[in-house]
Amino acid sequence: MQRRRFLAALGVGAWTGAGLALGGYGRRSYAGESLAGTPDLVAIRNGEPEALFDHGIEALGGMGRFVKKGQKVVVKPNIGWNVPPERAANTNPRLVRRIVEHCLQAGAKEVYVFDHTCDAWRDSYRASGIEQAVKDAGGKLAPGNSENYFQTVAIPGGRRLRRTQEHELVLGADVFINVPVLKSHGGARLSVAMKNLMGVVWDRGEWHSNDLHQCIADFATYRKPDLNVVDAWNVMLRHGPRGVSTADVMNMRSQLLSTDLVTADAAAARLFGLKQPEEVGYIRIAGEMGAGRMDLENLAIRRIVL
Amino acid sequence: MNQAWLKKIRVVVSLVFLALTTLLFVDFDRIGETPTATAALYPQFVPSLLKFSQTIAWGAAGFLAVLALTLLFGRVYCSTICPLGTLQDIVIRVADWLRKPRKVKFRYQRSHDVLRYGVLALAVGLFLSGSTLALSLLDPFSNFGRIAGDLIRPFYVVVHNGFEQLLESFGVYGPFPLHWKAPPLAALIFPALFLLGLIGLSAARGRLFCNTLCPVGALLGLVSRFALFKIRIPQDACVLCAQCSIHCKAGCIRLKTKEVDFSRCVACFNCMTVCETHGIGYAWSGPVPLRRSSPVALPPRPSNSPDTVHRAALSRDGKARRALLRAGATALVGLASLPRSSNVEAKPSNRVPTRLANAKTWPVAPPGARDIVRFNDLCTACHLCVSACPYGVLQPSLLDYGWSGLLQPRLDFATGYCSYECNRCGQVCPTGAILPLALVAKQTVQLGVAHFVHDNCIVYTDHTACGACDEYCPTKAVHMIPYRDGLSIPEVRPALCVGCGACENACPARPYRAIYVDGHPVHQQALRPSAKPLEHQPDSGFPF
Repeated sequence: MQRRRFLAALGVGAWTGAGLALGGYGRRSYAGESLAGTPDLVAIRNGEPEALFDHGIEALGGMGRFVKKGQKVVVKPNIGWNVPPERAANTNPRLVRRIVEHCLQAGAKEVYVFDHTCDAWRDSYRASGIEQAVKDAGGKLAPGNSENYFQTVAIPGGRRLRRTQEHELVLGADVFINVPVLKSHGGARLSVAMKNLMGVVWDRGEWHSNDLHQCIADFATYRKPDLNVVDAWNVMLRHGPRGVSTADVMNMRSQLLSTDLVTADAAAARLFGLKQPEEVGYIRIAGEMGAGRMDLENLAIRRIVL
Repeated sequence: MNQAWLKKIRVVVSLVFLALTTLLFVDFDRIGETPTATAALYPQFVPSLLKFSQTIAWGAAGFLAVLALTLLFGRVYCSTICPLGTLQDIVIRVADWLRKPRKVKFRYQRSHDVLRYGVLALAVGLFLSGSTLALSLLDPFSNFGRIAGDLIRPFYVVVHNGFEQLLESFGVYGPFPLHWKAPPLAALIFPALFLLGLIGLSAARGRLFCNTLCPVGALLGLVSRFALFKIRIPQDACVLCAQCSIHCKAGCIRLKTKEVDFSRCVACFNCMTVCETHGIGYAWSGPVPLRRSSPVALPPRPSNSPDTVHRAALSRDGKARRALLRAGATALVGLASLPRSSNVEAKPSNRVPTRLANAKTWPVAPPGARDIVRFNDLCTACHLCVSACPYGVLQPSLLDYGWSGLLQPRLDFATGYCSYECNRCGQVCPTGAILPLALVAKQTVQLGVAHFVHDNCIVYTDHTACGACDEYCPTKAVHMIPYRDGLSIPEVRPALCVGCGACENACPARPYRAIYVDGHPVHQQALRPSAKPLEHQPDSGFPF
């Protein structure tokens, strides 16, 4: 067992090293795009999920800006559904793996990955490929499907959602990284960063029956992830959030990174093909409530094409 | 001849069977896919016989091996393979510890032939006329399943998750929590009463159940009359110490005549371990004629050919029977609805409580059941599928199917939904009542159809967005269409619906849901959702 783990660790190390070297991670400069300070949003296209993240996080100041030595990191991908990665209903496992690796390289003591899944957690963790990805990267998979893990929290700025039950891992994390997948959504129009946070609360039905858009925005005023990474490598353009087949999916090879989840959602809405982010109820409300900024034209955006 | 070693083997084998069957029922996720564990189901008599009647495959011929074993050595089955037998043995052992030291444990009991063969005839007769009711209620395997799955499993889950919580308090996320969705409490009454009765009966009278109410015991008893080897008391070796009779759980050793009623002997071999002269034991006993009436013929198996006439007849009978029973059942509605805490759903979080009750006419039978009548005719309600269902949607029914389907599983969309990616119930069903379906085939079986109740929908009552049903629908049979003020509202395309109930399960409207699935009496085919190419695709640039 120990030997196998050691070999796996060796493999991961070698793989990561090779990936970093091949991808030119840490060497590339972005002359001509330089802005004062770090950008509010990094939008990056035309690469594999790992390369997109390597360059995206560098443009945002590197993972060291977010994760300090010895910290406890919680990564929250979308693992809602019992479907394989190519269906793009869940966050791409390659991206999750890369993020966990970056966190550990930055000195994180432990990196937890979890979701309160829609389908049965065992099936969803496995089918999404994220269970394997997290194991390979050296992270820890945690369960989110028992009410025991959730603690009641107050949402002081909430209009409809005044209190809810939030997962203890998020409450106890030094760093919280939100890794949604961009996809269509029958009820909420789009599922991106704010919608992904429905997976850190226990009672989702309550949100549905209590003005969904308002509840999503309310929660965004309370829980602000340290970093949002929107996986738009494969994008489910219709039939979301579960999708029916791979025919619903377009390979957009993109990624968005922002510390502001409203900004991430607004940019994602545009990327998805919506004319105005305000077409999505919760983005409009969250912007109005000041949960974040959706006025993309006034923000510092770094655009990268690999 | 000292055959006392036989008991040691018997104890080990019986404990292995008991452990494996119990684990299958209480923690299917952990061992359900291990071949060793599922092998414990292979020789379980009634399930195997029923499955064989469906498939005529060697993979389901375990009961033939049991018959052969019985023809050789008598009812070895009852003290090794049968988990309910071993459970009784444990009760007997515990009662033994609690008993006053010098009290005689057992003595010879007279044979209740009318009762036991009457039960057998009833079970066979009812089964042939299309009802597994007697088999369900008396089959030892199914009763054990209900005890383990319905009664022990919740305790196991509590202990398991308690341990999990303990580890977690040290920061270790180890064995992830198990889930147990509470069935209607009334469905637990039967297994609970049965268990209490069984404990009382076995503590006081040993294996009396096996020689009175158990149809398998009666059938194997008939067969064991012809066993080639029987346990006998050699006239000359016996010193009348009476130890064998005192320790005989079946009460079948008669000292007066130094005879063993082998048709009631459950082959526990206790007599051999206590015999002072090591006299009692197996001896060759070639075929001998019956002392009394001629043997009842083995029950002929119902044809499994797709005999439509036969099925139509069954169906007609079933309908008439159901109509009758439904009338009787109405009187019991109070009983059936009273303890259903999961159906109360009294605390609406939607502002406007919904008002239209769901008009369900048929329960939803599991995929692979084909039709409700066929399913009712084959299921013995062992509840292995209930234990194995990863989504907690399969739950014991009460009178949803009528009396002949008492306790048989149905899909309960208040506790779960049938996953589009799962076909496990058909894989595990030991009787073939739920036929195994390839996942691809299962994905187009229509168990029922979703019905949308516009006036209950949150979008209509609260005028806010929801779409929970659409979110969960795996085929987009439920999809959202434009409504007022930029809102969208669900619409059902029945041809695409598989009746999985994900929409009903997700619907947050209370007390009555805005979308529900009504079962099909005969399962239908759904259309496979088409994979049309995307109509429009966003351009490849940065649109901001």
